[in-house]
Amino acid sequence: MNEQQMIDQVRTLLEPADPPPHLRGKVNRMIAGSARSARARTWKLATVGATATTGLLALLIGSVVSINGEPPAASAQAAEILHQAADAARDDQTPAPRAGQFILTTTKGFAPVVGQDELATTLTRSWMSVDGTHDSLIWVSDPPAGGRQSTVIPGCRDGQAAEWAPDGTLLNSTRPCTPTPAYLTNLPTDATSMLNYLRRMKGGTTSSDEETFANVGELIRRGYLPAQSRAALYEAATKIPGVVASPTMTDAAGRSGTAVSLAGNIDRYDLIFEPQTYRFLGWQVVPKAGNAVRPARSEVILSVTVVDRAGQVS
Amino acid sequence: MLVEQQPVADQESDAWYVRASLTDHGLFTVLYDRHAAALYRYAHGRVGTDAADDVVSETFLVAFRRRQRYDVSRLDARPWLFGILTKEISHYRRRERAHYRAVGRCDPVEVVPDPAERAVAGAAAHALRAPLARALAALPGRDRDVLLLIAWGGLSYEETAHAIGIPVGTVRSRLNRARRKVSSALGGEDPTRAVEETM
Repeated sequence: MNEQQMIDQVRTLLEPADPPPHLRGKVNRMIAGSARSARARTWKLATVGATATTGLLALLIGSVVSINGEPPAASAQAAEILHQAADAARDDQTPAPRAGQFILTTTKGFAPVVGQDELATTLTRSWMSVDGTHDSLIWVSDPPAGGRQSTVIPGCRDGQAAEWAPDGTLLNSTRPCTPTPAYLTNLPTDATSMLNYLRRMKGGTTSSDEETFANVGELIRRGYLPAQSRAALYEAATKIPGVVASPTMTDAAGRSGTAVSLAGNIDRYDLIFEPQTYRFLGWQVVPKAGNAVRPARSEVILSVTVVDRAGQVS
Repeated sequence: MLVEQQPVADQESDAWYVRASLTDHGLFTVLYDRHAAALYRYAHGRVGTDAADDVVSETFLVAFRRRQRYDVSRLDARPWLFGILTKEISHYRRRERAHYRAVGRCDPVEVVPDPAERAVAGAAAHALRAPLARALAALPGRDRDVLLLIAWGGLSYEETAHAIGIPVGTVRSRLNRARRKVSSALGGEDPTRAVEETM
């Protein structure tokens, strides 16, 4: 084995992983906070300028409002949309998916390419096993250089799942596992518990409002929710401060719907419904309007459906 | 003026943005947009989903605070950012070991990833159990940093040397040492023969 062969082999161990959508906002908040405290230190030495005073006032006013106001929540119009969607979810008579079926989640990503005006689009389809015991499959339209177009995620049967070879193929040897069902039956079914769940999805610490709303999208990405949990998810979103209505919206993939949105530090998160039926239409993370850097990265969950076989498109 | 400059600015080097962010700190976001994906993927491979979030955001914060000291003759900021990330990962490991000692457990060799998270993320996660991964885990930390910055970070030998502040000759010797150990762990290749091959 020469050095290049070793490097190539080691490279195959690295699995694909994208920064979570909230990370960009988090980094920006940290940087803004750091820049602010650096400025605050300067003020002690320098004369306070007019612009600095305005900035400080805005900060003070911001904190006073959130202390004295009612417990903040989504806007009334957004809450109305979310309650409609929750009602529609509760009325959903679609039978629960069967253990042997798959949850097909279709996602479209848009990303800038160096030296090119057009955004590159990538379509991703994931077929995740409803009970976690069958082999799941992820298909990517345009894998990165050296990446695989299809990846099999071995199902976990009798506490054992096939091991991966370094090149991503499945081996005959197995490892211990616990099944990861894509039908999420253990989630809360009331709004308050669901909100607590969203706030603590990333471990022990309570998430910010932006992260909490972003976690709605994480949950939708993770699998298929029973009707009662879906209703609770939408109602939990009515309790997140900063969520506003976007009554008519065209998503990054060009589809129109009615949405509730939260503008984060950098990105905006949209939960989109069909305008007539209030059924789930999509979830997207797009750069906030006025963010100067173009062209920008965005992602839309186009659909979450139940199919019989992994690899079946409709 | 700013509006007119913007399309030109999109083509500028990382160094230009690091310098411009001294006056407009919002421009530092461009470095995130250009490099976060590569840094995150690397960090995810090394410390898993939860910690990757922290070490990557800390990396950008540290980079932002040190941006005055950035050598603007280096147009590509990737080696600089990977260097900071390498230190952040090593701090994270130290904290983690201290924590395990404090609660009276033995040192974990590697952070065990959450299998559910990994399966959804979707690929060779469990290949970490394969012999190659075991060989990697057995390497001394400094050799592993060099190998992974090249294989996972996509840095050249020179960029790796710059990232961790060592001469490029040291990068080569660490990589060679890693190759001997990985070869013998994988193929049962005679390690002495491997040494001879390199001479």
